Amino acid sequence: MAKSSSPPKWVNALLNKFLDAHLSDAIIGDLSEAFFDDLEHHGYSKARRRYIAGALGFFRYYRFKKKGQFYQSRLNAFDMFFNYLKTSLRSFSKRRAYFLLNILGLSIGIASFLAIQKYVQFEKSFDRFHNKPDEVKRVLRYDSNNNSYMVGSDPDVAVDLKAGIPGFSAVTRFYQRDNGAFQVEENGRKEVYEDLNLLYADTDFFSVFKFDFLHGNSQNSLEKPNGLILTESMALRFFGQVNVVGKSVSFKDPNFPMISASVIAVVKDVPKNSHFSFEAILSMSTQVRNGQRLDQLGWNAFDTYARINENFQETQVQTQLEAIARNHFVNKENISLHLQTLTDIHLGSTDLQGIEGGTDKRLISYLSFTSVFILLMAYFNYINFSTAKSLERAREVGVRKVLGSGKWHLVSQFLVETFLINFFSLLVALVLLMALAPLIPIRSIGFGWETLFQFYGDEAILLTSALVLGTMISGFYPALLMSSWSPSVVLRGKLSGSSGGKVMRSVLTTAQSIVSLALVVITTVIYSQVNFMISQDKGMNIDHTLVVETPTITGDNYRTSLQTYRNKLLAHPYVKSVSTASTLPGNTLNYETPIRFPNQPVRESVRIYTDGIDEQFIQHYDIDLLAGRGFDMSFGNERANALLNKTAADLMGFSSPEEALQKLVIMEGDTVRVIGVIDDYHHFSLKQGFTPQILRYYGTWIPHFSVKVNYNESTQWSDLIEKMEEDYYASFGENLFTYRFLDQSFNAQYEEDRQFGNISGFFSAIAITIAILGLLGFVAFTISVRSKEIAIRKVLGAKKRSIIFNLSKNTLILNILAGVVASTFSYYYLTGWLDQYAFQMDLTILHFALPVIGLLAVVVLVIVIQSLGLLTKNPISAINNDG
Amino acid sequence: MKGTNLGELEELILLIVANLYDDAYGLAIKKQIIEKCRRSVSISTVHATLHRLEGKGFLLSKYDDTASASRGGRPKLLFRVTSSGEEALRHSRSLRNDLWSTIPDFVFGKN
Repeated sequence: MAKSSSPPKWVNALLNKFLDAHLSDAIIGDLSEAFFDDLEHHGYSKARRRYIAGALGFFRYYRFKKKGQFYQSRLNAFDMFFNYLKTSLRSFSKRRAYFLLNILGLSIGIASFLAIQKYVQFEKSFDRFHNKPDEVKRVLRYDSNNNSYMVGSDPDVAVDLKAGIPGFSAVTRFYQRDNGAFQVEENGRKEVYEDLNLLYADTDFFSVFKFDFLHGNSQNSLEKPNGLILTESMALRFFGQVNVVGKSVSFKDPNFPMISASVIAVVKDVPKNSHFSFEAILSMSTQVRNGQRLDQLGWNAFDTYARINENFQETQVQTQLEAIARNHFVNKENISLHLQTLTDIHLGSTDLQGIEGGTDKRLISYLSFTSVFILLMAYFNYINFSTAKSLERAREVGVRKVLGSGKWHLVSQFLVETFLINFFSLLVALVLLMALAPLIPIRSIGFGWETLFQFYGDEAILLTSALVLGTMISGFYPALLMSSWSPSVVLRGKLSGSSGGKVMRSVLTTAQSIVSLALVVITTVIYSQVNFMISQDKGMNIDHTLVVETPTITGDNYRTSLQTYRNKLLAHPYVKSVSTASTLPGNTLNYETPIRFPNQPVRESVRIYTDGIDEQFIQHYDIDLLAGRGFDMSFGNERANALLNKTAADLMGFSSPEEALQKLVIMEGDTVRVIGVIDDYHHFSLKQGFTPQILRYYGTWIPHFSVKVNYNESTQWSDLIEKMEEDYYASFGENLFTYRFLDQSFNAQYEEDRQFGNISGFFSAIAITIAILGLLGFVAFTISVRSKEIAIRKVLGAKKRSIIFNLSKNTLILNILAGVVASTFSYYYLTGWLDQYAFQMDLTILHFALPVIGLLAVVVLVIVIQSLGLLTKNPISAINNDG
Repeated sequence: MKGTNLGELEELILLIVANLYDDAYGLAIKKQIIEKCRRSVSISTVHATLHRLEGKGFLLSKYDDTASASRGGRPKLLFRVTSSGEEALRHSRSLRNDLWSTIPDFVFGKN
C-alpha cells in the first residue's frame, strides 16, 4: 500500500499507546474503514484530517484509557505539574506587586552574577587557546639582590636552555617593540603607520604558540631575514585585503637602519584573551646593526618561552636551570632562572618587574565573591518575601491538605512557583544586561547580543547550576514552611498574626547588611587610596606639561631639525621651558647598572637605575636639589659628572647629601663625579617605593620633548597645539605628530585601581539596592503584623517617637551587629589589599563608622516612612481589622 | 432502578444494533445514525456509548474472525443486544405507548 493512501502511522501508535488494548483493534479498524471510504470519495487530505480528528475524539473518554497502576500515577503527576503551573500563574497575577518585587530583586542579582562571572571567566580563560597551554612555560629571571622577578632575558638564554634541558621540545624568544614605523606603498599612495605592536621572533615561535594562519604557513616562515607576518586586521589596514602574501613594506625601527620586508603569511588577529599581543611579526634575523644581528646584541629584552615534552621532570628542572644559570651568568650569583606556566601568567604577574597588563588575582577573587554574595542576597530577599507572605497562603494550603495533598505535593507546588520566578528573572536579567551594558564598568568584554552568548569559560554551566541551586535553596525553606501548616488550625481560623520564619528573616536581613556594608567600606577605601596617591606631593611638578614624541623616521639633517624644532617650541609665548631625558615620569627607567667606589671590589657594587637628563630637567620638573648643583654646560664637560637621588645616596652609604658631593664612582667603565643630590620624586605611581637613580648628562639623545607651559586662565591649549603641530610637520614631514599631557599619562598608572574602584562601587550600589529592597519588605511586614499592637499602644497614649523607637529597636541592634562584623571583615581584607602599595593612606575609624551610621539612618528612615500611615491613621480601623 | 434507564442516544443505538443484527459494529452503526436520523455523530461517541451499554449489560461484544484490508487488517468488534437490553427497549417502548395512549384527544387532535 502506498504511503499516501494509508492512515497516518503516528496516530495509530498514539492510539495503541494510550487506549485499552482490547478496544484499540476495533477502534483502529473502524477508523481505517472510514478512512478508506473517505479516501475514495473525498481524497487523501480530507480522509487524513478526518482520521486524525476521529482518533483524537477517543482521548475525550476516560473509559478507553489503558488500565494499570503505574501508568495512571505517571499521567496524574504530569497533570499535576500543569496544575501547579496554572496555580502559580494565578498566584502571580493575584499578588502582582509582590511578584514584580521578586522579579526585580532576583533579576538584578542574576544580571550582576552573570556580568561578573562573564568577566571572571574571561580573565581565567587567558592563553588557553594555545595547544596544550599547560605545557608552555615562560622563563623568568630572579634577582636575589632586590628580590624581584623579571621577564626579559638576553637572547642566548633560550639557546642555552634548548641545549641544556632535555625536557624542552622547543624554546623560543621574542622581542616586542611598539615604536617603529611602517611605510606602505599601495596604488601609488605612500602611507606611514607608526607605533604598531611588533614582535621580532624566529621559527620556534610557532612550535610553542598556536596562532591560526589564514595565508601562508608556519613551516620555516621566520627562518629567513626580512620575512613579515601580519595579522588579518593589519593586512586590511595596509592593503585593504587579507591575502597579501608576497607584498612588501618598508620598516624602520629607531634602533636599526631602515629595512624592506615582504609578507610571508597572514594570521588571524590575536585573541583578546592572550597575555601578549602583536600586529606584526618580523623575522629576528632581519635587523642588523654595525654588523651584529639583533640576537647577538645581548639585550635583556627577550621574552623566553619553552614547550615541554614527556621527558620533562618537575623535580629536576630547577637543578638543570641552576646549572645553566651559573654557566650563563658568569660572576652573577644573584641571578637565577625560574619557570612560570603559560596559564598562570595573566593572573599571576602583577608583581613582576616592568610588566604592564595582567590582572590582579585578588581582583578576580574579590569579584567572584561579590557576585556570589549579590546572588545570595537576591535569594535571601526572595526567601524573606515568600515566608512573610506565607500567612496569606495558609488557607490555600489548608484546603489542599484537606482535599488530599501530601506535604510533598505542596512542596513541589511551591518549588514550581520558585522555579518560574527564577526563570522569568533570568529572562529579565538578560534584557537588563543588554540594555544597561554601557553602565557596567567592566570594559574588557561587552554585553551585547553576540558577546553575551560567547562563552570563554564555564559561565553557562555556572549560571545554570546557580539557578538550579538557587531555586532549591530559595524554594525549599519557604516551601517547607508553607506546607507545614496544619489544616485543622488554618481552617478553624485560629492562625495568629505572626507567621513562621521570623528568626530566619532576621538572620538573612542581617547577612545582607553585612555584605553591603563590607562592600561600601571596601569601595570607599579603594577610592580614597587612589585619591591619596593622586593628590600626594610627587616631589616634582608635572602639571601643564605636554609631551611631544620625536620622529621615528629621520633624515640627514636630523640633529639640526631637532634643534630648530626645540627653538620654535621655546619661542612660543606660552612655553616656559623645554626639557628632554631618556625617560619620562611614569615611563620605565632606562636600565639598572652596578655602581661602586674606585677602591671597592666589583662584587660590592650596588645596582642603581641610570638615566640621562638635560640641563633643564631639574627646574623643568621643579625637583628639589638637596646639595650641589644641576648640570650646566658652562662648567665644561658634564659627561664626566652625575647626580644621585636621595635613595641612591642612602644606598651608597652617604650619611648626608652633602657628603656625597665631589665623590668619584665607577659605572659602566667610566669614573664619574657626583656633583649634586636631588630629593626623591615619584617617578612611578605611589604603588612603588622610591627607586635609586643616578642621572647623567645625555644632551644628544632626545626621545621626546617635554614642554612646560605658563598656565593661566587665558591659556589657549588648542592654539599652542596647532602651532606645535605646524612646526613639527615643517621639520619632520614624513612622521606623525603625537602629543599627550604628562599628568594624564602619569595618572593613567592608577587606571587599574580606579577601575577596581568603579567595579566595586557599581556592584556595591547594586548590593545596597537589593538590601534596601529587602529592608523595605522586612519593615513593611513587621509593621503589618504589629499593626494591632501599635494601635493599642496609641489608644493607651504612646507617643509617636516611642512607637518608632519600639519598632526600630530590634532592627537597629541587628544592623549595629552587622556593622561590627562587616568592619572586622573589611578591615582584614583592606590591610591585605593596602599592602601592595608602597605609600598607603591611613585607615581611620571613620572609614568603617560612616557607612554603618549611614545604614542606620537608612533603616530609621525606612521605618519612619513605612509607619507614617499607621501612625496617622485612626487606631480603630487597625483594631477592627480582622487580620 | 438505576442503570436501566436509557438515554436517547443509547436507545437509538440499541435499536440500530438490533436492526443490523449480525453486522453491528462501530462504523456501521455510525452510518446508520447518519442515514436514518440525519444527524452527525462522531465515531468516538458511538464507541463510548456502545461501551457504556455493554457496561450496563444491554450489549455483548465479540471480535469477528475476518480481517480485511479495508479495515487496515483489523477485525470488527460486533455487538449483539442481550435479553436485558431487549427488556430495556421494550420497557421504554411500552412506557411511551402508555403515555401516548393516555394523551387526551383534544391535545394533539384525533388522528
